[in-house]
Amino acid sequence: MVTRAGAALALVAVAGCGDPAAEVAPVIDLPAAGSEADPMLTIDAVELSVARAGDEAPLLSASFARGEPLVLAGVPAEDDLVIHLVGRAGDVDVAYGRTCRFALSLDEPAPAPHLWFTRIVRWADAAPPVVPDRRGGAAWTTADDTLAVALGEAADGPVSTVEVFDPSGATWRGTAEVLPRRGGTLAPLGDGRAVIVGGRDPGGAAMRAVEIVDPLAAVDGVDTIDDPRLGLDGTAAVAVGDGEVVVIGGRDDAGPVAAAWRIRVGDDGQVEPPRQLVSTLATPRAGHTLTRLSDDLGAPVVVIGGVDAAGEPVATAELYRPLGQAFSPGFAPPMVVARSRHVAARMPDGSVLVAGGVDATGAPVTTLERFTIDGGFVVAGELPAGAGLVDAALTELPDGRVLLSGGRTDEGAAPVELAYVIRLDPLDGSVDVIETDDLDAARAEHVAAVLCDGTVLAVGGDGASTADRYQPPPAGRR
Amino acid sequence: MPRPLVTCVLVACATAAGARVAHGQEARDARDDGVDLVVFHGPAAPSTRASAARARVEARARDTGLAWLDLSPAAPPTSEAPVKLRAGIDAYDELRWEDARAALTAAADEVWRTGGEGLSTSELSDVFLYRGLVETQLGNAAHAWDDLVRASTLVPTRTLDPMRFAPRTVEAFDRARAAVAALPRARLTVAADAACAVAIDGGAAAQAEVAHGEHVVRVACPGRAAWGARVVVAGDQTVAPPDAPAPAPPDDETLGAEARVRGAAAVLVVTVTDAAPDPTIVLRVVDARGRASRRASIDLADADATAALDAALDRLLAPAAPAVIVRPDDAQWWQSRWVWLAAGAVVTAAITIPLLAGDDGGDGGTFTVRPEWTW
Repeated sequence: MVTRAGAALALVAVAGCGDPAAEVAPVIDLPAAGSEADPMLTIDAVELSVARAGDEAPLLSASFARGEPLVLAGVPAEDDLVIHLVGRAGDVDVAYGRTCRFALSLDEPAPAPHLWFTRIVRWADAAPPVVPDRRGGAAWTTADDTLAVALGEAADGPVSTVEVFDPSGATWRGTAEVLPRRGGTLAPLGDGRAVIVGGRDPGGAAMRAVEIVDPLAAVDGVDTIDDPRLGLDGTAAVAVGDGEVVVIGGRDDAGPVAAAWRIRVGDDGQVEPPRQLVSTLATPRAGHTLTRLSDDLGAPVVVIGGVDAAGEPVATAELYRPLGQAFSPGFAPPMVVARSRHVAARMPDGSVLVAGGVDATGAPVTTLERFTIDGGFVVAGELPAGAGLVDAALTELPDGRVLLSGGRTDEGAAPVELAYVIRLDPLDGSVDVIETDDLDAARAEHVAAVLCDGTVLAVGGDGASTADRYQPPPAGRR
Repeated sequence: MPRPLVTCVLVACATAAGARVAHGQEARDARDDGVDLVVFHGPAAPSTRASAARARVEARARDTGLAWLDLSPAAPPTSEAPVKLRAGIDAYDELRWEDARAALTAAADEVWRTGGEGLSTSELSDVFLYRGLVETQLGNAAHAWDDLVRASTLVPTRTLDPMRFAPRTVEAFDRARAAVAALPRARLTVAADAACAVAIDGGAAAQAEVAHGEHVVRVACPGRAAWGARVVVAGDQTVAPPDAPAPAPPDDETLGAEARVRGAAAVLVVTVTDAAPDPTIVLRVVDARGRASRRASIDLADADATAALDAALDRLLAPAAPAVIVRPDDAQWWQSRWVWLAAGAVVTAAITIPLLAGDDGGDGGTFTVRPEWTW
């Protein structure tokens, strides 16, 4: 048997070597002709390169003037390759596109990866989603690098359809159906699946079903665990690595709770029933955010903001340590501005940027503050007038900056189309807030997430029924 | 001959030769998943359960012939206070005052650093009582008084046996005891998780009514290094151990590097988290590129944890492949070396002749990127 397999391998090797003409034909996707994101009118040369994903230096690279055919020979058969296409006007990079990572193998047909080529720092129209009027919801990356969106509400009530955006081809498709729930919280498990907890059913009753959704499953993509303790509004959940999600706080019929649960994947790949932790929050709260301080196993999770039993914003943060399955006793750094309905994102140095929200008087907060585990909260800057302060989306970009998009200037105000790129100054801890291209449509309560090719997809929300796709600068996106 | 062509010939020949060698090898260990290194990470001060799990995994690794690497943080050094106290008392009894003072001062330093690790309440008091007695003998009345007060603060009811100690020593200690008795008392509370062992002045308690003055507290939590400190009580007071995070296990990238350095194809990473209420052992197979593939997670508090651990090890460390024995009597025609030589010649010719005859300089083994795009 071994010898026959060896002979077969030898023949395969021969066959592979004997086909020197294998070609990869990437598909260049462009925004609508004539739109502000269309690169074709401005560029006079392009640089085509192939690199290992994450590497700054390309394996191969060549420049082409307008009209020249694009050919790059000698690309090695490897895993985790990406193709970059940079468009230049003069010596200035004005357009960019990158594929998601792909593999080349002599034994497999060559792939045809898609590349979204647009002007940089520009939003462009993307294909409309299956549910065009979804407000709220959450997105996560699936096992095949597509982007799944679930939860939220539409005009006819809570949305049960989970839909997936495939950057290759820029298409949407509906996949699994989850239970319709108002509110609810979603946390990815890290293996392409996600856990959904909390919220209320269309009748207003607490939703006690915990759902584990696999948007790529051909059948039975949703498992359900019934746990009445997790019938919570305004709870928060976050993945803490190694197939584990922690659910903290929220509000039951009696008010905010201090309890926390962990949900983890068992040895057989099945999700185990939630287990309540012995340790609890010092301050019961709902409507807070959870931010993991790094991607390392055991990285602490900071609990920020939210409202307490009296409906007042909680002024102190708390720290959950996954390895000890406990909250740090006595850890209660005060916020600069106590707030709820804010957004938070991790910065490249492990600090956490807190933006927007409303204070104790219900007024929107323009102060940006930054949390570090050693220094607590400090003022990091101010958001400019007109920026979305509630119902905005804060998205961590691949190069470490964050993108603040859409939102409202105040509760009840109309959605805005403004977007800002926020960059941490590592020298003094302040942040630069730079206005970038406006969204193609004003939107609030939307979802904005990074795709596998480094672009940002904004979808849904109040005010828009389409999707927008943002091309960040190429630096740091190799 | 063009380089791609040479590569192709070598690949084909090596493939065939490798197959032949593999076939003829008589007893070959080959684990399907390629795990040949086990990396363990556990708490610095493991519980009995965690220690037993570690021993079980290590035994299995050694039995299976796998390299074993323990990256657990080093256990904190054991307090030398009991030894130093004994040496100090011996020196005092033998009238070696300087030796006694040095040993007892070392013991006192350890007491302050560790919160009295390894000493009972009366032994804690002994450290300062005997140092006070030594200071008395050396004529350092002020130092002696401070230590006698410390000794009495720790055990306010303590009295000296007049049959053993000199009258002026007993009298000095009685004065210190009276001074302590006159001090106000306060509630000293240690805030720690219920799973932690807490001691105040050497006695197991998380809260105590104590005299104003110097006291020691010690907290030992599962999965964390023990913490101890001196506390100066001047009113009701709550102390909490610093929230030092448990040392994190190495990340997958580091483990992948470890695997590559050792030539291992994959690493079985075993992580024990000793925290209440769910002490857990997690086993993961990480390949040399730092990617985790299979995993198992076992709650060490479960009654059948040992059996589950064994089963997980069975699953993640696939047993060695059965020996392949070649017996001449059973050899088939295709096991003849002549057949293989002939086949090798045919394959080599099949590769080289067409390529030599029709070499167009193409890049065998590589691809060409050619977007279907005109601009």
